[in-house]
Amino acid sequence: MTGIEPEEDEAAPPAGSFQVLAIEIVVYSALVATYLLLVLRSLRAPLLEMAEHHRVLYGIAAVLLMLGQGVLLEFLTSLLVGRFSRARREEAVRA
Amino acid sequence: MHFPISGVTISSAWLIGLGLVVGILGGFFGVGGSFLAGPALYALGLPMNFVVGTDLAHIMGKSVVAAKKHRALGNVDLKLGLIMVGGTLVGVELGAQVVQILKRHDLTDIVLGTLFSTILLLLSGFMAWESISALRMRRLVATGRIKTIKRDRVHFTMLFKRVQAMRLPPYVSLPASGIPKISVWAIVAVGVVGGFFSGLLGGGAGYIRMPSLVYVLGVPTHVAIGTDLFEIIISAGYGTVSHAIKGNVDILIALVMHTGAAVGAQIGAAATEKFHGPKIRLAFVPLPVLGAAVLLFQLFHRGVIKL
Repeated sequence: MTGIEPEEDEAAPPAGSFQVLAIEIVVYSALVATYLLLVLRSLRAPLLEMAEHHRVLYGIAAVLLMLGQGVLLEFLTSLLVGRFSRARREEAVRA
Repeated sequence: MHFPISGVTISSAWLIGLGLVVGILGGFFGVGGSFLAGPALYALGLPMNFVVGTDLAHIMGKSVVAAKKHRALGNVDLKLGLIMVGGTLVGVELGAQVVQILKRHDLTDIVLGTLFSTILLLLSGFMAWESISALRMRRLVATGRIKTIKRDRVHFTMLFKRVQAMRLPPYVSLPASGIPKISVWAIVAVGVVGGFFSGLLGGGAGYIRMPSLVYVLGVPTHVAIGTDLFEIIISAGYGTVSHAIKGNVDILIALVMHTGAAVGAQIGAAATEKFHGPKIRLAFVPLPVLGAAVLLFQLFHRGVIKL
């Protein structure tokens, strides 16, 4: 199972794992910022055109965009969260 | 950032932050988070009809992430979700048509804002009462004054027992929810009501559907959370198309919010394993109140409601 796995008697995570989390957050933030600037800004004009003149197409495009982004970001966040969990386990073993 | 479809300018950072918070809460409680997202979007300047449609689009994408997580945890009753779909789609379209009528009469802000606030406050009150009663029952079990409770059951059991005993064929069994027999029409009715509020007020109406699954049908809380998220994907998807055709969706706002919600949903869904049913329900109580407070403040502040 990917993602965060809660444990009953969880000790405080080692300091190194917070560094890993911080790096992952920075990476994710950079990717999101790039995505917003490049992808969403470039979609503004065509989506506006569709919303004003081709609403059925706009509705379908809205669903497909949202589903596509959902799948893409789920893959990305799972990857990042999984790496964070592995880093914590490695730090705990070393400690 | 300017969003030309709805004609508003909103900071992307605010939208991503809002998405993150709503994602965590939504993944944890199994609701779309529209009880906070809706009022927050209105507070950020989005007109109420766009709040309804845009929030539907946003929570559809977020629910894909959270539902997958809950499916992995075994919390999704697919059979129940698929039966509810028919009722949900009918309800969504009815709700969307009502929004169009209100738009024609320039009544969306006052009617939808007031209705939404009222529902949120009533919901909080009811869940507070039920959750406290359920926790009290658990304490009685722990002290031995009551012998046992077999599984996570709500305090308010009379309603779902009557519904499950209802004689209205056809019937279906829901083994994933531990329900041996229940009328299909009861499930469809829950779908219609939830769908109507989804189409009318936006979001997935998890604040209606999730309690309905627990209190009306008797579905265990963890399964209600996951199944509700699955249902939201379908109802919100249809609602997005319907409202987009009616000119009520700014998909760009939804996409920006979702970038934060994608992370939040993963965190929220994983956290549900730490808590039992009544504690989850009790923790939910302040959130609709907060949403209602934000919405009412905006309605008064903008002069939509005058004293």
